[in-house]
Amino acid sequence: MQKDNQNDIENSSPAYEIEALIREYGNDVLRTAYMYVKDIHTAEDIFQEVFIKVNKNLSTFQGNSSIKTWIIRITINACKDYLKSAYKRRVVPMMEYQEDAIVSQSDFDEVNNQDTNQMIKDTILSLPAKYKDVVLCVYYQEMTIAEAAQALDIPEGTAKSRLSRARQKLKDMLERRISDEL
Amino acid sequence: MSYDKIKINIKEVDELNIKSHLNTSLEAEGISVSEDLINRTLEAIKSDNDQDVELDKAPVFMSGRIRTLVTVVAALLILAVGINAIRLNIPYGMMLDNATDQAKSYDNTTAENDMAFSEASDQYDDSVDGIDSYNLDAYEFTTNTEDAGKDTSVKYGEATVGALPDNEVEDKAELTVHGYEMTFTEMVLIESEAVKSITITSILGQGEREITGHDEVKEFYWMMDNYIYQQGSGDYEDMLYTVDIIGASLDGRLLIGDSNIVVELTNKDAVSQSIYTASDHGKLIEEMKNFIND
Repeated sequence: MQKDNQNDIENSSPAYEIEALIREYGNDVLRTAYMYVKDIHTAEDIFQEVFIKVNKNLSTFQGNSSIKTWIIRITINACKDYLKSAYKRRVVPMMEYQEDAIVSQSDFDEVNNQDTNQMIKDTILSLPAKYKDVVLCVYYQEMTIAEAAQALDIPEGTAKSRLSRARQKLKDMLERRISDEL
Repeated sequence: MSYDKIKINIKEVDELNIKSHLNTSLEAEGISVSEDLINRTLEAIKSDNDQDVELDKAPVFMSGRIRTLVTVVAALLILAVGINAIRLNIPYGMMLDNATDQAKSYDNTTAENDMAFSEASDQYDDSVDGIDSYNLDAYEFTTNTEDAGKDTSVKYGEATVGALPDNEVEDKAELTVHGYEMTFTEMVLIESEAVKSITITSILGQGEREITGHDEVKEFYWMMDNYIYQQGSGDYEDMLYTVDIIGASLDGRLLIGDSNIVVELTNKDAVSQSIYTASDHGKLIEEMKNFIND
């Protein structure tokens, strides 16, 4: 009985909760961060920053959204903050580099050598930021439109229209790549 | 992998299974959470918590001290304001209490002087001889004595003026303050017209005189009004004369000593005592002696 109580205390302790959250949502956070910053070390830094923030604010989480939506929202905001600071430091954001690179002949040649997964990933990541955001939330994080809107802090209608345009752009970009490949 | 399959699925983007493709690609790149990253993150969280605790401790300590200091200062301010408020506007009932305490402290007086208050001020509804109105607020009184026919002033200062009724006063008198100086009438609070009898007794056996006639009373008041009386301090001393004034509803007893005069005013069983000094005390004693012998 006493042992059970002790286990309950341990299970309800913040340290246990944060570790559980790290293990459950860690990959989502790290990969989302990586898809934004495109650098594994930076992504790991953001990963730590995100879970420190989660730990600090866990007691104030009101449950208005799912815990995953809340954590991903923190992750996206942390990534955008990083990209903004990188822009201020005159560091060319990787996304822009990627977009520019995609239109170059050498990059098309490289894409042609990649497998389907890589091509789809690169295509998604080369989407304009506002479309990439909603695609990652809905298709990668498996959020509903409402959850994505909440995570991105945009109206639900905006999220829906952006997703529609993102799908069209993604389709056009993939068709272009495939036709170039063929 | 054939791109034809992709072409088909492009019709509906969500059928591309984006999550699966992305995860497969990211895993191939080694983008996964490692135990090392988890441990480092937990360490960072713990370190952050420790820093928060350290940062929280100091402000709590300081704010606790500040709170205590503020509390003490606030209490002192409230105390000071309260004391000043009491001094400036002491309630009538509190003066009665003071009179009671003072009465009890005079344990070397005669039994008839040892009186204590047993009732509150609102119990004294009898009128004061010769006094029409008065205001006990801030010890300030305005008096207009009929005998003198002029405005005179009195301030009781810290004197205890208990047993003064607050209604049914008879004569038209208005108490005013001009420093601490007052006339005899203002000191004893009994107008000459309201006096039934006055008995002057020499403690040293030089005689005794009782006056009941109105002219004699007025003469005595005229003699006593030649002096200015001021609020004094000290205690009972060796008495030379006692002057017992019997009024319509208020009685007064003056205990005249070497240097001061103790005035005891009695209204039923309520007594107040005050100590005064006369402007020329020696001459007053001399006149008292002459008055007895007349």
